[in-house]
Amino acid sequence: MTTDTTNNDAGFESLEALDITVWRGDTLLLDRIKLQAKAGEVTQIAGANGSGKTTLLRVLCGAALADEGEVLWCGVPLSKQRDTFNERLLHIGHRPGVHAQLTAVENLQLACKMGNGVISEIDSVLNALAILPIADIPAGHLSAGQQRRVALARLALMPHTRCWVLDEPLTALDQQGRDWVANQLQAHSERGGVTVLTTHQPLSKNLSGPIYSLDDWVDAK
Amino acid sequence: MTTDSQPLSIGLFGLFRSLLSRELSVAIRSPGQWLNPILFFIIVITLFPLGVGPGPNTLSIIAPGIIWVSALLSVMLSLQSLFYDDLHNGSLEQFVLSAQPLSVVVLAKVFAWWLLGGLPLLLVSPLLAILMHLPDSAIPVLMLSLLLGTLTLILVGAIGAALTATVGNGGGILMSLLVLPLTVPVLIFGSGAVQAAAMQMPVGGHLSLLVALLALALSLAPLATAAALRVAVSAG
Amino acid sequence: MFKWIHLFGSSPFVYRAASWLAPVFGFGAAVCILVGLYLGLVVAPADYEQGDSYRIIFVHVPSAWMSMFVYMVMATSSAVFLIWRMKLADIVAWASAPIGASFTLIALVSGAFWGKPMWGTYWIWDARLTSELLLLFIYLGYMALRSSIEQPQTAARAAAILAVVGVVNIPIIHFSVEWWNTLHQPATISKLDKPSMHISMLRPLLLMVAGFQLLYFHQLMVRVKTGILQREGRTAWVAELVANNRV
Repeated sequence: MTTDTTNNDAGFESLEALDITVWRGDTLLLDRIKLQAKAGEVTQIAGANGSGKTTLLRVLCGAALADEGEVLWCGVPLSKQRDTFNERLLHIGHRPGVHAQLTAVENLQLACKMGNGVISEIDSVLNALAILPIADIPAGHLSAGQQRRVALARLALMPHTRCWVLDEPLTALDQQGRDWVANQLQAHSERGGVTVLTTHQPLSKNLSGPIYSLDDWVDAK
Repeated sequence: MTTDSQPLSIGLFGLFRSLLSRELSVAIRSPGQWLNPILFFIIVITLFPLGVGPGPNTLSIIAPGIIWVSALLSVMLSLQSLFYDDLHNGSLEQFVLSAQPLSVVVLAKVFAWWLLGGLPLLLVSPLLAILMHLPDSAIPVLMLSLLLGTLTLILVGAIGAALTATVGNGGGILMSLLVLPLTVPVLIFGSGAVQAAAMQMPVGGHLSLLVALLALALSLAPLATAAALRVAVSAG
Repeated sequence: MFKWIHLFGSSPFVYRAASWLAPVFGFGAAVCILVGLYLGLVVAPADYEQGDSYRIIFVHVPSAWMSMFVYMVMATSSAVFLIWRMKLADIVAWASAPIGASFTLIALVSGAFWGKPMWGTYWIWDARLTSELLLLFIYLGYMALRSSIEQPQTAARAAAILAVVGVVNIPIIHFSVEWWNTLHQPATISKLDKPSMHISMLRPLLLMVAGFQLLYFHQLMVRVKTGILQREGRTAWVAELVANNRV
C-alpha cells in the first residue's frame, strides 16, 4: 500500500490537521486547530509572534507531538505511517539544519543522502542561489541570508518530495532570493505537491491557496 | 519524477559511512572537543601519585582502578556535547524527520566519538601504566579492556547525552549523574581484568564479560538513544 | 471490561478512587506495622548469635524489598506510558520515585546500623549494600532528570526512557557487584538472609513486609492525587473540587 502512493495519488494528496491542541505549561497555545492543505495549493499560516505558528508546523510534520488531535497524510494518521510520510516530507524549520562547521556542499551532500536528493545538481542549485563562490567555506562564516539559502537549496534538490512544510522560508532573503523560492513553490504546486508555510512577507500572486490565521482562533476563544 | 520511491541508493552502510565522515570533518575543525578530554585523562592520573604518595607498591596496586576511573570520567566529559550542536542547529530535527533509521545516525556518532575520544585513551594508556608502575605484563590487557570498555561506555553515555540534550546549564553534570551508576559493570570488569593480569591470573572471564556487555549495549543502547533524541527534538 | 479499563484514563475517577483507597491502605499499613513491631521487638526471642541487634532486619529487609519493588512499578508504568501514552502511568512513575528512594535510604541506614555491632563498622562494601547504594543513585538520577527539564511532557518522556534503561541495567549491576564482592572479600557472609528462620521471627518479618507494602500504596495514592491535581489544575472538575473545599 505504501510503495506506490506517490504515483497514484499525485494531485490528490493532502495534509490535514484535526483538532490540534497544544498546551505550553498552563497556557493553551493551540486550541483545536483544524486545517487542510491540498495538493497543488500553497497553504499559509498567519499569525502574530507567539501565536504558535512554529509549534503548529512542527506538529504538522511530526517533529513535535500534540497534546490532543491528530495529523493525517492522505487520510492516514502520521503515527501509523512515519517512514512513508518522512520519505515524502521536506521540512525546513525554524532552525535551518545547517551545521556551522561544515561547508554548504558538505551540508547538502548529507541532506541528499539522507533524503534521496539529487547530489549531482548541488553545484547548479548553489549557482542559481548565487552562493556557489562561497560553497567551500564553513557555513558558520556565512551571513544569515546565505545560511538560509543553503537550507532552501534542498527545495530544488528533492523534487520527489510531496509535502513541504516550511517555517518562514522568506526571512532574511533579498528580492532575488524570494523570487527563487516563489519559483520553487510554483514548480512544486504544478507537480501537484502539498505546501504549508508561514511567512510575514506577501507571496507572489500566482501562488494560490487558503490562509489560516491563528489570530482568529485567539479571538474566537 | 524519476527519483520517486527508489530505495536509498547508497544503502545503510553507505549512509553510516557518510555520517561518520561528517562527524570526523566536524571534529577535525573543532579539535578542543576531543583533545581536552584526553588531556584531562592524563592530568587526572598524574594527580594520584601527588595525592597518594609516590610509593611504587601502592601505585601499582591502585593503578588499574585509577586508570579505569579516569577513563570513565574523561569519556563522560567528552560526551556532554555529543548532540548539543545538532540539536541546536536543527540537524537532529532533519535526522528525526528523514526516512532513515535514527539508530544508524546514533551508531555513526558513537563510532566517530570512539575514534576521537576512546581510541586516543587506549593509545596513551601504556605511558600512563608506566607512570603508575603497573607491571608490563598487564599493559596488553589494559589496552584490550579499554578497547572493549570505552566503546560500551560511549554507547551507554550516548543515552544520557540524548536524555539531557535539552537541559541547558548543568546538563553535563546531570548526564554524569544519570550515566555513572549504569557504567559500574564496565568499571568492575575492566579494572578487574587489569588487576588479574597484574597478579598473573587468568583474564578470560573478565574479558568475555566485557564482550557480553559490549554486545548488549550495541544492540539496545542505540534504540534507547534514538527514542531519547525524538523526545529532545519534540521539545523544540 | 474495556469500559472498565477506560476509567483509568479518566482523572476524576482515579482521583476519587485514590481518595477512597488512601485511608484504607494507611489503616492497613498502621495495623500491620504496629503488630509486626510488637511481635518482632517484644515477643520474638533474641538470636543466640547476634543477640538483640538482629531485630533491625524487621526494618531492613522490608525496606530493601520495597526499594526493588517500587523500582519495578516505576519501570513498568514508564513503559506503559511510553507505549500507550497513558498519563496515569506517568503519574504513578512520578509519584513512586521519591517513595522508592526513601525506602532505599532506609535500607541503607538500617544496614549501616546493623553493621556496627556485626562488623564493628558502619559501612562495609557488602554486595547487597553496594547494590542498594547504586540503586539510590539511580533513583536520584531519575528525580534530577525530571526536575531539570522544564516542559512537563518532555520531562515525563525522558524520565520514562531512563527508568526503562535502568531496569535493564539493574540486574547487570547487581550481578557484577556480587561478582566483584566475592572476588575481593570471599570471607564475608551476609547474615541478613538466613536460609532458615524460626517462625517467631518469620511472622513479624512477613507482617512488616506487608505493612511496608501497604505503606507504599498509601503514599502512592496520596501522591497520585497530588499529581492529578497538578496536571489537571486547569480543568473544570478540579475547579469544582476547590470551590467545594474537597481537595
